[in-house]
Amino acid sequence: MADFFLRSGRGLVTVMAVFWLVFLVAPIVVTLASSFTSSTYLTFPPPGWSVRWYLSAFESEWVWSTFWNSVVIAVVSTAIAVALGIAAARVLARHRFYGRGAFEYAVLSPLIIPGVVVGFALLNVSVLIETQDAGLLNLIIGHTMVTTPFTLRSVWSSMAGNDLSLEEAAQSLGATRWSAFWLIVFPLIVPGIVAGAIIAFTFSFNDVTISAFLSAREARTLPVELMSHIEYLPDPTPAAVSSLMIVITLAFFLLVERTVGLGVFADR
Amino acid sequence: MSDVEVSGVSKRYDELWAVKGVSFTAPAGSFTSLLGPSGCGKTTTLRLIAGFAALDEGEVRIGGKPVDDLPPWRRNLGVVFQNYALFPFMTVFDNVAFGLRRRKVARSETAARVAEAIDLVGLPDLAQRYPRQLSGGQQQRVALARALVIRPDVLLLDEPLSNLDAKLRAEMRFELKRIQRETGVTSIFVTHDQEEALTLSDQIVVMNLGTVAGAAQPKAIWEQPESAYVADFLGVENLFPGTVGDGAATEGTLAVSVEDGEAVLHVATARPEDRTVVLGIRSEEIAVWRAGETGDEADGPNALDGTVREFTYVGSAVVYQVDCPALPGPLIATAQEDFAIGDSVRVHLPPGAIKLLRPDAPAGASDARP
Repeated sequence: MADFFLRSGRGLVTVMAVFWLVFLVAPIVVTLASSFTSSTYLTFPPPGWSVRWYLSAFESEWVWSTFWNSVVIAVVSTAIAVALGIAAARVLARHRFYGRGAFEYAVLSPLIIPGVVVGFALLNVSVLIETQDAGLLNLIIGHTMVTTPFTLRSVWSSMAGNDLSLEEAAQSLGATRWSAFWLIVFPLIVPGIVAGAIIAFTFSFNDVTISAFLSAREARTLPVELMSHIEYLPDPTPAAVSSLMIVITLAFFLLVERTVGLGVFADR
Repeated sequence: MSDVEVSGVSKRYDELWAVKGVSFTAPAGSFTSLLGPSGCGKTTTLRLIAGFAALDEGEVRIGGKPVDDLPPWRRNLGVVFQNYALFPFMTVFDNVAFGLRRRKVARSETAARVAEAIDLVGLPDLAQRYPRQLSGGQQQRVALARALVIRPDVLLLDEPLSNLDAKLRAEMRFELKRIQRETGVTSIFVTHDQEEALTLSDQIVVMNLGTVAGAAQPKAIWEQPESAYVADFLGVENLFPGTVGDGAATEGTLAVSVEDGEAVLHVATARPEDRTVVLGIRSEEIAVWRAGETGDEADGPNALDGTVREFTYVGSAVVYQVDCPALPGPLIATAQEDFAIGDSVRVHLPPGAIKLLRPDAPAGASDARP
């Protein structure tokens, strides 16, 4: 019996590995390879090799401006999402109150509501309160809303392990409520904060669905701009930009792996 | 050193009173145990003293000063938690130094006082280790050192020995006693273990359902528990409701009839105020003979026939459960002799060993024995 499960488990892992290779790794490799093409249109395999599309990307004004938009939006919305996530996680971890379940669902709901719906709803709200031209602000609010569930979840799970008595011990030794939090609780939840922040940042930096609704003329994010370029222009510049984004994301994860370890993503 | 006065303290969680009207005084330098089963309010009482929870009624005074408006960090109390609550990412040194650093004690003095505290609790040189690298007993000692290094007015201990194995527990009990004697710190100790309470305390406060059921020195509480509940919790195995008869049975004894049984036992004690009582006797006070063997006492007024129902061997003796037709439930008796299940025996309850107790016994206590 155990043998059966062991063998079928191994089979399943093999199937998953094949799927992963075919549907995730292969497209990335194709994109990377075709971004080095020497031709003026996208084709695979490329007829010749060249870095001209990378030079073109670096010289394009739209790449730089939207890249900085994306960075600013991702940094600011992640910072807010982390702060909100810590506050909400603390409330959920420490207090029993009327409507606690409803609060939990409300904060976590962006995880299950489709991005298109969230984006459309936020667009309507911004039109209603006449902020539809403040693209940067709308994007930051939208991304914060959608990424807070990630930071909340990871911070909350890192809080679950530590006992109230640690804080009480600190307080009995002379630490105020506030310093007991900073000196004792905070160091214990740093892994959860880092994990949540990385997921939030990556989500914000890569999001298209919600950003497509909220991007105004002067405030477009890199993925949204990339999308419209892919739609309307056949040249391989977007492939070069995509490749750069893949490399940046991988470098980001490598950095995390080297500093705090990827274990921060595991729910404890 | 400060005394602790707890007067009329109550705490409510929603509709439920966790403690209700608890009063006791822990004299300066004394060791007081709060003893009771889980849910009796002993830990809540400790938390109210520490300031971790706000009380709804009453007052706590430490060294004569009311502390109810002070947050925990201004009360100068040392607290040792059941799970030790050591800061996991700090070394032993940093754990112990935590309270001194909050008090802005100079570096050199901090180092000296930490070393002194570590020495006091009998820890070897482990200052640079992390809590997870220590054994349970060592963690316990670190928790004690951390609580004592701040020179607290009062040391509060919340079941600190319950997570240790039996051998270590016995050892730490001696250590606690030594450390308390050496520092002279007023200590309040929460436990559900009557033996711990008896061996460590100057005073035992027995708690039940959020109230104080009795408070006395260990010897007094052992010899004359205030009530059936207190007796039950202090390990008086045999408790039977009864009624005191009129007049004296013999010279100096009262005749007490057992409820739901035919036995009328002679008890050598002063007449209680109330006729309704609970008779209590410890298992080791009861003598057991094989049926047919006769002796002076085996034919006396407090001798009863019985049959061995069950026994457990405890090393120094054998504990028997004996069915006596004259009693409403089985009798627990200790004997050196070996009897088999089903053996007919004769038991004797010495008149001087039976206590007449106030039958305040709430649900828990009376349900525990048939």
